[in-house]
Amino acid sequence: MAAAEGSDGGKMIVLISADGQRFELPEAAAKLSQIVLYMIEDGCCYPSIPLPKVDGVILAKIVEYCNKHAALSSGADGSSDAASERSKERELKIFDAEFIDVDVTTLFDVMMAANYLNIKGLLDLACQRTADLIKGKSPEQIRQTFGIKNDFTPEEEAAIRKENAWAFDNI
Amino acid sequence: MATAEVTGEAAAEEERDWSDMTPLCLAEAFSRLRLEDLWRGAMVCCRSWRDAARSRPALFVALNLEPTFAAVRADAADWWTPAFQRRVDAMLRSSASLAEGELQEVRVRHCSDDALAFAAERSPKLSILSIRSSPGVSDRSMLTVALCCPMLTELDISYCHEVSYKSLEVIGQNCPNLTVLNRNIFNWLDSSEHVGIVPDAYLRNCPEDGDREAIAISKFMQKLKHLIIRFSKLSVVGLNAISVGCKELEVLDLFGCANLTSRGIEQATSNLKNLNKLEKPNFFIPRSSFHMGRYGHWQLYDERFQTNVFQI
Repeated sequence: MAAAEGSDGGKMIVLISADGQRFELPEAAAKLSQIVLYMIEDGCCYPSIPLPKVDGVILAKIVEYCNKHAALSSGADGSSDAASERSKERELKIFDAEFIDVDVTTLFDVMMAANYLNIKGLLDLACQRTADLIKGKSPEQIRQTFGIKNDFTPEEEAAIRKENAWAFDNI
Repeated sequence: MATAEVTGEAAAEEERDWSDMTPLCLAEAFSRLRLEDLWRGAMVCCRSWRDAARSRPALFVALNLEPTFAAVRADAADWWTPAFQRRVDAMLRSSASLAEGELQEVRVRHCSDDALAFAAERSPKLSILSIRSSPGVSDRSMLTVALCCPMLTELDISYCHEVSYKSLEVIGQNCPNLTVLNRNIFNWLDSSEHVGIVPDAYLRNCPEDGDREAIAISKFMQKLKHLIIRFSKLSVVGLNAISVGCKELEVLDLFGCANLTSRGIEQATSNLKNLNKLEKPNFFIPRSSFHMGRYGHWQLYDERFQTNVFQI
């Protein structure tokens, strides 16, 4: 037998992180990543898929996300009445909100990994969280939040003040 | 903002350089920001973030300052100054440049002729243009809009006194998809709400020729679905022309059009089969304006006075 089988009979996929940790997850969950999906389709996913750009701590989070979303995605368990759909959606929403409530360092890694693995839902989630952290802040507050250095030259600063002047300031 | 502070401290401890974030991801995050947060926050915090924003013209597809104007609720006197016009102009020019031809929606007020022409020349995809209360805009830049922005669907030129019926003609001829036109003028029956905000000379000298505009609309804007001309001085002649020319009208707002009678409106609008919302001139005329205690409400004297004797 070429593939390992999970408890429910579905195929299992093994991902290996940059620091050599093994993560086993159902094929349905792994397929949320476009990159992994292509590898599965091309048959180059056995015995395992190495992901040299993602370290173990972050891959653990990614796997958690994929497992939850695959388990709760519509029609996964065959039931499809409107009420259970709605409660699943609610559960996913709560899960997402807790999942992405992380410090900016983790957010950075999750975003990079979601982009690299091409997991659209997760990338959207990370982008939204980033946007939420930017909202309503001054440039200095944003730099502080994300640990960014102001690398503009004085000339650039002057040009920016002109180009990005906001009509309603100090009026 | 407690979480923001916590994460800020965490970032200082560990090393992740957010200026190294993939520009594609940054732009994706920026696309979820309001223009103000992008414009004054994200774009001006470091070079790589600025470049990421500038690499995606789609982020600048809309310059909509209307929510900010609306948040102040009333019109503000400070907006009617050359200094404020220069500020709006600067934003309009920057947006048109950053959008690199993708600009589709412009909702500003108090822009100038030159800035509008500058933006129009660079925005072949412009679909929505709202420049209400722009004393500086004239037929000259409207001609540029007509020639450069053939995809226009919505136009608001309310309170723009230097824009005449000629602009309506040339826009109508060049923008076949135009379906929404706003062309309100100031309340000339009782201008108290504008006094002290709008410069007096501007408020008093509204050159609007209601019938001539109505006829231009009826000839050249026959695809209109929404026509909003509050306080227009058009007469039943103009309204009849509109009802013959603009058969597809669904919304017609004649609030404050004091030269119309309800009989004239009824007759004219009976031609408009698609009309589902009609705002009649109906409004309360303050007694102080006319010293006409007997006829406190428009409808009461509507049938008695058929002409435009109330024109000031």
